[in-house]
Amino acid sequence: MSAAGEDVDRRAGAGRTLPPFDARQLQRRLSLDAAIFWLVGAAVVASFIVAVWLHERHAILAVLPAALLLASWLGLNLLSASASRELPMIAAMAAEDPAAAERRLGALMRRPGLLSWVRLMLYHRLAVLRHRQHEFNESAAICAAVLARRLGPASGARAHLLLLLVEASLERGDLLSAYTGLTELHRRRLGLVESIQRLALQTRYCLVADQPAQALGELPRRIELAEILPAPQSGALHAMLARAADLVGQEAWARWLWARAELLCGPEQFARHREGQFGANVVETIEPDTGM
Amino acid sequence: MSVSPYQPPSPEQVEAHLAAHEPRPASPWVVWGPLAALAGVVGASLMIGGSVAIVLPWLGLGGVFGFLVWRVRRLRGVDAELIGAQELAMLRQERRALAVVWRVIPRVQTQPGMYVRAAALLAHTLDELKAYEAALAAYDSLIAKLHEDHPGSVHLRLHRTIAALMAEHLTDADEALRRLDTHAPAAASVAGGVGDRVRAGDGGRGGRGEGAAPGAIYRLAELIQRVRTHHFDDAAAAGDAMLDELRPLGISAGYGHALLALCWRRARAVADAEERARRSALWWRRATTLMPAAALVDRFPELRELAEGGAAGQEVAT
Repeated sequence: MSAAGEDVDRRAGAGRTLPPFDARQLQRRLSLDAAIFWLVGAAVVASFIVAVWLHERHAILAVLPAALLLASWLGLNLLSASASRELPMIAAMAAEDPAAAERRLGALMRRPGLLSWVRLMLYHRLAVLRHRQHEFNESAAICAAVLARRLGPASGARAHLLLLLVEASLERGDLLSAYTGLTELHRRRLGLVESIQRLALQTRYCLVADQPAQALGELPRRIELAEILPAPQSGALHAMLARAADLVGQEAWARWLWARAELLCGPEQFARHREGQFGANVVETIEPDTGM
Repeated sequence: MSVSPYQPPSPEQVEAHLAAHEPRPASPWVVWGPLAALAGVVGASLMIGGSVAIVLPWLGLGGVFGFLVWRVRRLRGVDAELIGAQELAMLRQERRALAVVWRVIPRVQTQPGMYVRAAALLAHTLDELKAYEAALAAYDSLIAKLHEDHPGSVHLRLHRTIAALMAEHLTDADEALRRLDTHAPAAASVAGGVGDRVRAGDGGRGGRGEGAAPGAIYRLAELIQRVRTHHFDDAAAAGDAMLDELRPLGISAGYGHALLALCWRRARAVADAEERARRSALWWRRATTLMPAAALVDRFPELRELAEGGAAGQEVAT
């Protein structure tokens, strides 16, 4: 972890209600959820054995296992459904009222018996929150822990987790992790918005890794995609491409790209980009489709 | 009704298509049918008895789960198709997007969220294809179905106003702009009207302006109105503040810059012709930095005079 990264984490840490992320605690909670599901499964199997044994004497016992399975399936799903319904609201809250989002996340995370994908998606939202708070060490740790597990029906969020991880890694100066994340993103089929986010992160990676020529490959296509982004992100990507063009001596492109970036960014943002600061602003501000 | 993928439909066709596929609640059979079937199977098991009674409920449960999985997969498939259409529209392939969304609408009648997305995309693609009357029909149909507090309502009303201006429905657009500024839905969120929100420096989203802040879209609508009603001096008087106010539109801010260039060219309040020419050329240069002149003229034919005299203007500006 870089000193700059630690400093950012310390400053943003004020006002937190949840303890720092601990991968072992996530594992404990997932194990508890799994134990509850196994217990329910065992009860259904036991009831099935009893039914086979006694159904001649008590006809009602014939439907008991199926009824028990249905009731437990409905009960556990209702518990998880109420949590999963809150996920989009928490994402919106993370932007408007981070403290309230954190409190709600804490309350939902304490519930036992959640489906594992729902629990992992709660941690995904925590990673988004920490990313917005510029706590990149913690957001990277959460993303890595969630990505290490099967996401099941929420596998659509895997790309967003990778994007968060890459951006957090770039902020921390961890180029190896950023490279690994980008490679993984290239192996995946992405939506249009995610592809553009990957393009922006890859461009930034090329600048940090001192490979500006790589950032300018298929430039007209890159510019066309950059135009789709919201103004601040589009401006940032134009500025990154302009910087790369500057570095490789393509002056005409650089002039035009800087002119566009100036029109797309506010004056303060443009001044930062001119100094070579691009900051984390690609992934955190666009909530992707996570398939839910 | 079928439509050629390369021809935008007429307003009548849009009205008929949307009227024929109005959103409606899901059939009670789809909601309660599986549970009723399960209850029937359980009842039959109790009556039949014997070993069959053990197996039958499991078959019933399997059937219900299978049906639910099939329904979820079908919905996901339609959603993926809709996302594909949205992506086509983002990539400026409006004709293909229109063809897809036209097919999707009948399949999302029972899904309110997806229906709103599909109908909004239909209106947007028609707007981009310059089928303004048809776009107005789509906007009107959708706006009538949405509650005024719906988060997308203000955006849709603003885009509808722009479509009305482009179709030369000036009185209609004027009324719509007044309503948006003073009686706008979610009046609180439009804090004193969209215009004030612009002045408060509302942030923006959406590089091509589709999801941009309402304030910026309102400003663009106001600018188009002033050009269409020949109030060039009023528009030119806004000055360089318009640069910040239109910025949330992203690349589409180029339309606003080009219209300002036209306003400066035709304004008469500033007596100094050289100053007018300089300002006009400056705005035109900003516009053409963001968008090709051909695209600007394609959308606003009145900009042709600037495109043809562009080179001369650039020299004055520099």
